[in-house]
Amino acid sequence: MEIISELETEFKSEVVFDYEFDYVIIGSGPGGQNSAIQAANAGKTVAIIDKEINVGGHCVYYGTIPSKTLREAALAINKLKKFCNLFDFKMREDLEVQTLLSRLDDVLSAHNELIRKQLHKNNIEIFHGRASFIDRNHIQIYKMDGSKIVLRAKFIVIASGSSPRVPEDIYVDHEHILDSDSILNLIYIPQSLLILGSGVIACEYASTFALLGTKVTILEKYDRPLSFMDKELTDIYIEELESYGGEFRGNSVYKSVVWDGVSEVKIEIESNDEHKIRETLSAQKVLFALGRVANLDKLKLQNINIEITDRNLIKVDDNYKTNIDNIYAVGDVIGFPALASTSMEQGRLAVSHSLGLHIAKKFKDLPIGIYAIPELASIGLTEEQANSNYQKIYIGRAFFDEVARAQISGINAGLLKIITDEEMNILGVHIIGEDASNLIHIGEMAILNNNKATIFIENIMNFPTMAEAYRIATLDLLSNFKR
Amino acid sequence: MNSNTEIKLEKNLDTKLDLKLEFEKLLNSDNLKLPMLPEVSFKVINLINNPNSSLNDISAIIQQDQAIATHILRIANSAAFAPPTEIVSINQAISRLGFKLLSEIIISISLQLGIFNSKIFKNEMVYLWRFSLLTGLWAKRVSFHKKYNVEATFIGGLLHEIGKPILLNSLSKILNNIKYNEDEMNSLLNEYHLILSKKVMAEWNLPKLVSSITCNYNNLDECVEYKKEATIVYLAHQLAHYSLELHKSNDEKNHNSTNSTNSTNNANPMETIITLPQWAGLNYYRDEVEDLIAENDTVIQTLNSMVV
Repeated sequence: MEIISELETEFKSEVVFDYEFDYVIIGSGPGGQNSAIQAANAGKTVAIIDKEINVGGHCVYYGTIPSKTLREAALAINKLKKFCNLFDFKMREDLEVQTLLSRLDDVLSAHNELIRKQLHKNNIEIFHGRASFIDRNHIQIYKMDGSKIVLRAKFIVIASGSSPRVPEDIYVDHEHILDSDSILNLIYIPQSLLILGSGVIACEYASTFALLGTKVTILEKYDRPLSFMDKELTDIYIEELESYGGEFRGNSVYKSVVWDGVSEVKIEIESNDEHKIRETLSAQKVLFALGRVANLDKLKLQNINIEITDRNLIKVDDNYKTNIDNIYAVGDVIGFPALASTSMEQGRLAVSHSLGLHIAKKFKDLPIGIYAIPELASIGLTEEQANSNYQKIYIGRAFFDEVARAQISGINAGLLKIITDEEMNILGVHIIGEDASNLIHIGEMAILNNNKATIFIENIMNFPTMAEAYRIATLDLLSNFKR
Repeated sequence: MNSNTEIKLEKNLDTKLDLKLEFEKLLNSDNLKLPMLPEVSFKVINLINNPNSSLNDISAIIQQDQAIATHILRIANSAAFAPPTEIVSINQAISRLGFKLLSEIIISISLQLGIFNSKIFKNEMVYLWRFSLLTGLWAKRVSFHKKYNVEATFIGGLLHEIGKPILLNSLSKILNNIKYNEDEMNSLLNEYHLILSKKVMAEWNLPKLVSSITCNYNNLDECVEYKKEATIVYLAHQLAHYSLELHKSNDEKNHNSTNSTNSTNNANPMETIITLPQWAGLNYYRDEVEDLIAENDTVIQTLNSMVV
C-alpha cells in the first residue's frame, strides 16, 4: 500500500489523507464482503474497514454462527432422546451452554480465516478500526490505540450492520435480562426464558431453548409470530413449539420488565385489545429481542448530510445508492429483510451500479430462511398477498408425513406449499420443516426461470428425497386446479 | 470442613532465614496440605452452579452462620445499595441484594474470614483481600461492557491470587518473630503463588471456567480454553492495581498538601492501563477503556461496602 499525496488535487476537499482507494467499504459482513469483492474483480483498489477484530461481521460472530451451532447441538440432543432406549440417555441437569458450543471457537476461527483469505486473494486491504465520515470522500479510522488515519475514496459503501436495540425502559444487565449478543454467554441452560418479540432471532432462540428443556414463552404484541411469513407456516411453527413445551402468547404488550432482585425477572403485560387486561409473568431469564438498530451512531453521518428514514435507517434508491452520488448502503443499515443472503446480493448490485455495469435482472423475490426448529423458508408471495394481488390463485400442499424420505427420517411435521396463478405460474413457495432453507432454492430456481409449477412433475427427482415434496404439492395443486 | 487447616512446615531454627528456600521447601514438601475452601463458599458456589437452587437454600446457609448474617445486614444497609429503609432482617437483606449478589457477598465474606485471615500478616492479608475483591469487581465491569459472562469472571477475579494468602498462612508459623525483607517476600509471593493456586483449584474442584481463569490469567499466550475470560481477569488485575495506587496517591497528596510538599511522580498509571495490549483481544478501543476507568469511584464504593 502506498501513501498518496499528489492525487489530493483531484478532489475539491483539502483533507489530508494517508491512503487512497477507489472503493472504501465500511463493514466486513456479508454485504461488505460482496461489495468489496465485486469492486476488486473490476480491477479497482479496495479497502474494507471493520471495528471488530475478526472479519465477517458482528452478526455472523455473535448471532448467525453461534445460534446455529447451539441449534445443531439441540437437534443432536433431541435425536439422542429419541433413541434413549438404546443409549440410556439422560441430559445433565447442570448442562453448561459452553459445553454445547464446544465447536464454536473452531467454527468461528475457520470462518475468519476463510474470509481473510478471500479478501487477500482479491488484494483488498483490511483496516481494523472505527470508521467515521469527514466528508463524502474521506473516512477517518479510529484505531484501537486511539491513533487515527484517513482514507480517501471515490466510492464508499456503508455496510456497518446492526446491533440489538437497547430499550429505554428496560435495563438489560446481560445477567438476568439479556439481548441476542449476550444470551449465549449464559453459563447454564435456564429453567425458564421469556422472550420479548417474535421476529427471526426470537423464534430461532425460542425453539432451540425449548428443545433443550427450557420453559420458553414468546410474548408478542400482535396475534402471530414472524408476521412477514405465510400464516399457515407460522401456525405450524407455534404447534411445534408447543409440542416441546414452549408457548406463544400473542396480543401481549409488555409494560414493565424488572429483575426482582431475588431470583426472577418479573414482566407485567397488558392484552393488546380493548380489555387491557394486566398480568404478571416471571422467568429466570428474559431475552429482549424487539428489533435491531442500524450501526450508524459512530459514522458521523451528519458530516455528509445523508438521508435517514424515520426508522433511523439509511435511505437508498433501487440501486442501493443514497442521496449522495458516490455513497451506497447495503444490508442491515437499510432495513428489511436484513438477511445475510440478501445483504450479499445488495452489495454486488450496489457496486455493479457504481461501476456502470448493466445489471441483467434485479432480484425481486428474496428467499428467506429462518433457522428455527423446524426451519422455515419462503420465496415470493404469501397466500394473503397473492389473494390481494390476483383474482384467482391455486394452492398445492405436501405435508411431510406424505413424503417417504420424511417418514424414513422420522420427520412428521412439515409442509411445502406452492401458490400459482391461473396459468400455473409460480407466485410463491413456502416451506416449514427439515431442510426447508435448502429446499426453497428449488422453488426459487423455478421462479427465476419462469417455469410453471408443472415442471416439478414433468422432471425426475431422486427417490426418496425431501425434494419429492415439490412433486406431491404440484399433484395436489393440479387436483385443485381441475376442481 | 475446616477452614483453618494449614500447610505443615518444619520450623527453621536459623534466625537468618533464606526465604526463597523456605518457599521451595514448602511447595515441594510431601506434608503440604492445602486448605479447604471455606464450607460456606463451597456450598454457595455449588448453589450458583445448580439451576434448581432457590433463595431458601441460600437463606439457610446465612442463618447457620452468625458472623456472615451480621455482615450481610451491614452490607445491605451500606451506601452502595442505598436501601430506602433500614434493613433489619436477613429476609429483608435477601430481597434487597438478590440471589447472585448475595452469593458473591457470602463467598467474599467467607474467604475473607477464612483464608484471607492471619494474625501475623494482618496488613498484608487486608491488602491482598481488597486487591482480590477489587479484581473481581473490575472483572464484572470489563465483562459487562462487552457482554461476557459477569458471574464467572467475578469469582475468577476473586480467586485469581488465592495462592498468596495460603502461602502467607503457611509461612506464618516460621516467620513469627523473625525479621524478613518485605520486598523479597512480595517478590517470592508473586513468583510462587500460581503454583499453589493451581494445586488449590484442582483440590477444590471448582467449575472448569473458574479454575482455567485462575491458572491462566497471567499466562495468556499459553491459554487455550476460556482465553477471553482469562484476559478479562488479567485486565481486571491491572485495573485493581491502578485503583489502589490511585487511592494511595490521593491519600499521599492530601498528606503532602498539609505538609506543603509536592509529589514528583511522573509516571502516568492511567496511560499504562490504557495502552495494555490485552485490550485488543477483547476489542476494547481506547475511548472505551477511558470510559471504563471513569467507573473507578463506583467500583471503590462497592469494594468498601463489601470489605468486612
